[in-house]
Amino acid sequence: MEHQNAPPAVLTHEAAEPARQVTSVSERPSPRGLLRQYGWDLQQSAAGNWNRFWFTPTDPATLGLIRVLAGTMLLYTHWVWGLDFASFFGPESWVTSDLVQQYQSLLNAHVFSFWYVVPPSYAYAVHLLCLGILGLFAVGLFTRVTSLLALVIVISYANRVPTALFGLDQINGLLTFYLALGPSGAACSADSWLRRRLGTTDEAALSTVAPGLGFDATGPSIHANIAIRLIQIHMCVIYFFAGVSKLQGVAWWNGMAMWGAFANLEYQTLDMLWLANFPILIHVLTHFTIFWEVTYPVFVWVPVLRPLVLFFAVLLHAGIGLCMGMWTFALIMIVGNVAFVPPHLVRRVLARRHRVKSFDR
Amino acid sequence: MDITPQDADRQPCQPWDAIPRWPRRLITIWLLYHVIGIIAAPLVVPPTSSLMRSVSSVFRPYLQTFYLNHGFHFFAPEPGDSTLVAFMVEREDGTSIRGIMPNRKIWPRLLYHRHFMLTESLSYIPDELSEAWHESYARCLARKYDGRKVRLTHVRHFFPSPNMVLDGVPLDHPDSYEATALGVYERDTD
Repeated sequence: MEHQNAPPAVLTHEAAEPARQVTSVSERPSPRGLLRQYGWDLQQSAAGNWNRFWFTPTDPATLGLIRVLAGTMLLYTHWVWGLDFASFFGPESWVTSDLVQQYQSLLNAHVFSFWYVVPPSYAYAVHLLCLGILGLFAVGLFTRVTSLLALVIVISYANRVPTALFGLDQINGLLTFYLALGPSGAACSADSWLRRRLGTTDEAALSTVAPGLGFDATGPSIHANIAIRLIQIHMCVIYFFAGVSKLQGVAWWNGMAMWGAFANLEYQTLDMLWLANFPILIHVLTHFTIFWEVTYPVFVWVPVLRPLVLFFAVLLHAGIGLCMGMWTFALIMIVGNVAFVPPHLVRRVLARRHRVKSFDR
Repeated sequence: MDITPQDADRQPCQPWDAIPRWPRRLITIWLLYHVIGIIAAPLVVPPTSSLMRSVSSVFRPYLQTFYLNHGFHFFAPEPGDSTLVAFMVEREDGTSIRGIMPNRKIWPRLLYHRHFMLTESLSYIPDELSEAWHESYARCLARKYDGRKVRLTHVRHFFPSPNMVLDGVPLDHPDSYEATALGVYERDTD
């Protein structure tokens, strides 16, 4: 607890101060001395900020919520494969296993998939087993093991059917990676519920800072913080490149790109063709999309702007779901944005909404 | 007792001091490698430079192993036409079935998108695999509809401009489709 309460900047500053004095002993510092001083200050500042950013313990509540949401999405996504299983994973599938492996080797891809070696007669049983594991992962049972197995499952399915994938699968994959990396079963999980039921933890233990990385910790841990930070950074990378890559296209500059999305019959689920009467609205939607995506990696770190940025994330993705029928992609992007929701807010919402006190740790 | 700066350095005063220095340095190296890697991955989506390709190659095996090697070029450079596949499957009894992939009636919507991505992939698969790709699609259709012969057609579907829509042109106007025959494939009964 004392680690958490100690103001992080104070001791760093005190430790750095004597060194500053040593370098400023001479009456008038030489340019070289000033440069050395600047280098020292830069190094101290970078190291301090780096450590504060990555190695400050955080409550795993947000990570736990992301596991529940992403795990449910994984379960649904993989259940859907089973609705036409033979066409995607059978010996006479759309793209056979041999052909996929030829494709991967042509691309010089270093990939693996257990589907390359599972005999066809066992394939559906393996699929059901995978669904079971993903279900356990979603509810957070044996999470340390099921999260790693979920990662193997997600990668294996993706590498077996690489040409049937889209953005949804990429976000599924990266979220599963970070959930397997961090203590995603430490909160909002059957594991934590069982721990409390079996009396292996108590309130005092839950509120302490986990020592070291905090593997299997139920309280705030550096381990949870690293996983959440990586999700946050990856979301910034996604939006930034989604934005700047659009800047190559004329339609994103002349304001008509969103029309291309609305007027595509293969995507359309909501008739937005009335917008043809109001080109100014198409322009606004197009330009705002670019602006929001490109500025996301900056504005989302500004505390006062973060709620606005996340609000527009929900709005943008709900629009994609509603107009283009890509609800799964829209929802998983929103789940990724949950990484920016502070854990205390997650706990407050869970406690208020569900009134399940035994489940909220 | 006074605490010297050296003592202060040694004491576990900061939360991160709970991790010994060397493990923390190793984690830092991995974090740098990982973060630079996920930033480098989108930078090699064409058009790109040979420098970016060289930099990216350092991270490529790692990113591919964990399925993190993504470009995130959603709807870039701009939303375009759709690629579809029209088919006709002939059965042993002489009857035939015509259809188009993806079928908009496929439910749930996620399964529809899976089929749509399969047809969209025809626009980017390597040329040396395209014939095998078409054969594989034909084999799958023959299995699904119990057919002996499958005729495949590559279809590009253009979308109309706002002015065309205002003039009453529907999204599925026959002129908005451009068909190219891919071939006729017999099912291997062996």
